[in-house]
Amino acid sequence: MFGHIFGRFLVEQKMLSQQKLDEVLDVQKRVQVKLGLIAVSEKLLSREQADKINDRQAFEDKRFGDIAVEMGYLTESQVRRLLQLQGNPYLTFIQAMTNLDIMSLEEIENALDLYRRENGLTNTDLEAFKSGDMDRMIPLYVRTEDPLLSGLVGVTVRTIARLIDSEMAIEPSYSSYSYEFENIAVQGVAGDHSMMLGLAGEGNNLLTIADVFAKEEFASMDLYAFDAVCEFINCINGLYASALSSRGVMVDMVPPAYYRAGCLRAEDKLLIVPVYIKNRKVRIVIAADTPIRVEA
Amino acid sequence: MAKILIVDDSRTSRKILRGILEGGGHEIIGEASNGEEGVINYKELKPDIVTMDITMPTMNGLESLMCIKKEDGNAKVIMITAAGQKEKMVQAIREGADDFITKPFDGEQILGAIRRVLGMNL
Repeated sequence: MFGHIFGRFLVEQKMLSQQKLDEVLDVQKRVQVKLGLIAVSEKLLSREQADKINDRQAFEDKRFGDIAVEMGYLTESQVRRLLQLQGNPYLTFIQAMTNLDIMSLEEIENALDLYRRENGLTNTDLEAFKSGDMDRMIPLYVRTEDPLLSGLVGVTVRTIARLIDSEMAIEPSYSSYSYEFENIAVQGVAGDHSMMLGLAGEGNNLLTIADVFAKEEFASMDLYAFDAVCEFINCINGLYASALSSRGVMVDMVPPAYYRAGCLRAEDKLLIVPVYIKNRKVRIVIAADTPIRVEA
Repeated sequence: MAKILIVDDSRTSRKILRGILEGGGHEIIGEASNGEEGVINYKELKPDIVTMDITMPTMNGLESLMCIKKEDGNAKVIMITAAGQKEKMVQAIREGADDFITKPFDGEQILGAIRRVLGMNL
């Protein structure tokens, strides 16, 4: 998720072309981050120290970490920690960028700082963003005080990542009393709370969900494709209903529905979370404890 | 193996379930898209096992279960729900359901439920 979110930002800022981003993401999947780059990124080594170790490594058959310990630059415990970090998505992304000579580490760090400022993130938020841990990243983008809404968004995003696209990206949420859609699948739940979960997309964007979930290739958003998206929403609501049930909150699902070319209107605000699934924009539309009207 | 009737309003859900069950060597002898159709198909087809979704339009799965059990007290029905809620499970078992599985589907969970229910028949 980190690579797709930050990469999209770099493309929007014209620091990177989409084609180069695709190359980076492809390499990221395969790259093993060099320990030296991690150490510099983590401020455990200076660039000069990393270069000296690399120079020695060129003619000594020893591992980077072992040389760093011998030269007194790192402790064994620090080397162990660096080894743990090698799989980190932020680090694999910057490794891919530097491997392909697209941006230097300094340029990447400057871009990251710009991302932090433009998105109003604190340094702690930035560490959460770089962690690649979805549970730490989602709250950065979902701007609501309502735990019901944030809980349902969390389940939705995690289920999309788990069942549809592990490389999905997310953008900051926004609220509105209405939402105009081209295609939307929705399902309500009722009981101790009433909630609505919808997935909306323009054109054939919802096929990114339908095709994967149904393991079928739909030519267009026909009733069978909508059925697949509805069933996916049904699974998400079920998972959330189970979680609420374990906290003593009882809700039950009603049959899902789909609509074309219309508008949702709510008395209280809808929460809308843009996500990218297989690079196609889909919006998660959620409401809690407010009457919803569908005009379609 | 077992002759199975699938009752679920979602074509996607029926398709995924059919794939798992046929992969496990069972025969799908019918499909219904709501509880009312499920009752009609049960009377006609007399399956070994019915898989019954709970949330459906026209007639929900619990109501359909009760009708089928009234028709045939020995009917074997496995309830399917997207919500693993205890209350639904308790209510379904009270009405005579033989087992319970949750969505998203897990192949092993489904085939295990079928084996347990078939085992009860022996």
